[in-house]
Amino acid sequence: MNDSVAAWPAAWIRAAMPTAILATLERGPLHGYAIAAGLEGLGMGRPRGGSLYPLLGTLESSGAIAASWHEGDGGPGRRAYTLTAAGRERLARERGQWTDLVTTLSSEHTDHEGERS
Amino acid sequence: MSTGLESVQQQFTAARGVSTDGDWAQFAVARLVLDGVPRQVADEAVRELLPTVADSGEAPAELFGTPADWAGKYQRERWENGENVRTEPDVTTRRDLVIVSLIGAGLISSIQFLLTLLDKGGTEVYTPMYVLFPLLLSAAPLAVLQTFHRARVGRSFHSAVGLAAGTVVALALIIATLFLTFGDSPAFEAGGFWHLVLGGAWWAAAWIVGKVWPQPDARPAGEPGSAVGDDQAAWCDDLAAALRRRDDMTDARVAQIIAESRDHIAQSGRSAREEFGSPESYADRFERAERVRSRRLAWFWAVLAALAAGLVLTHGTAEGWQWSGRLLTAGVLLLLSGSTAAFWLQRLLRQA
Repeated sequence: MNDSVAAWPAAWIRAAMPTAILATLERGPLHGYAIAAGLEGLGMGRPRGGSLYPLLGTLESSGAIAASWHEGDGGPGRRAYTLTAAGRERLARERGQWTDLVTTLSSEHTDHEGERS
Repeated sequence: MSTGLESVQQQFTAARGVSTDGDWAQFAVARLVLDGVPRQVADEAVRELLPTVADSGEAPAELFGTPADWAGKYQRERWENGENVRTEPDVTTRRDLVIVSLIGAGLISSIQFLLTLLDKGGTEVYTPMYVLFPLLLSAAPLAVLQTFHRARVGRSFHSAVGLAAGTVVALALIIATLFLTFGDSPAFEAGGFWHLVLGGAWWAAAWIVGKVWPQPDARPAGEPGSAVGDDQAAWCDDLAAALRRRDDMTDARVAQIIAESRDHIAQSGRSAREEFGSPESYADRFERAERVRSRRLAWFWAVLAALAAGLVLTHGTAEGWQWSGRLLTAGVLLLLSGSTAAFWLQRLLRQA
């Protein structure tokens, strides 16, 4: 799935990939390859095109992102992806859920639960 | 846990003693098979869920969602791991078309026999064209469909529809000319039973053709998927063909995917195959656009229903609305095509 070494196991990255794509678009519109580079910058490895674009298509059809065509300067045009309002809401919700998961799985929390039982 | 030759459905039913678990497994296997996953692979994939169901004591629907949701997720995960669990698309050969046409002719002859029983049960005049009619009726729609699918691989949707419509007109003219030329030369007069004999003859011919005409093994050069190596232009052409063959993508969406793939390849500096895999497996990774498919099928069946309605009106007016084999056939066609059009239209509205 990924082109470079990622900081986390592949299964985690697969599960977090939609949220991570929304996060890369938070600062502004990006085209496909720039999103892949952004994900690499987050430590998730650079996803191959074969994994990235179908996922972008799914996010677009769900309304979380929108795509628009930008003509290139003398070269071919590019599709740029933008986070929609629904996408921002989804990103905030999923960030909260990931944070809750991390809190639940943290050793301190688990030890605390263990002491109670 | 049960293993061996027991069906997946029986194993799921036995795991918790709940019959709806078996139904869930059956629907999950069916969904995968409908998506083009080979039956054996589908059975194995669903069987792998059995320990989880047995150990947790929970219903498969609670654990994995609906069969359709689970099947979609299963395929997506495999694709992301670089596995293509679907079979390569079938390429219909001329041999297939001839055999299916002959089998269809046998079926139509059997229906003709039933219609003679309903109609009058007397003798029939078997002209050469009347004898050949089942084969023409069977082969013509197949020729139109094949023209559409072959044209669709390399052309826009509207061009392919135009070519298919042109084929309908050309075939109608050829058949009309044949009827006008040979329609009035009686061959023999006999009972409706001869339709059954002719049906058997068509099926025997299909069997003989299947035996003497070997199925080509290799994919012919130039067919979709034949591009090898890292030839980017050929890879993009094959990708466009594979996307069009899905029948659920607009031409604009196909053009977008191709343009993005080209751009990505240019920026990554790697080959198309390294970045995207084979054109067929990459085309399969995109979510199904059910709305586009429903819209096209609704249109197709609506046009067929309109033609059937025209036939009912023509025969009904000409024959004074008396029951006859022709009116009954046109009526059944109208009923089938109309209800199928309504089904797809309702589905389209639900997807809106």
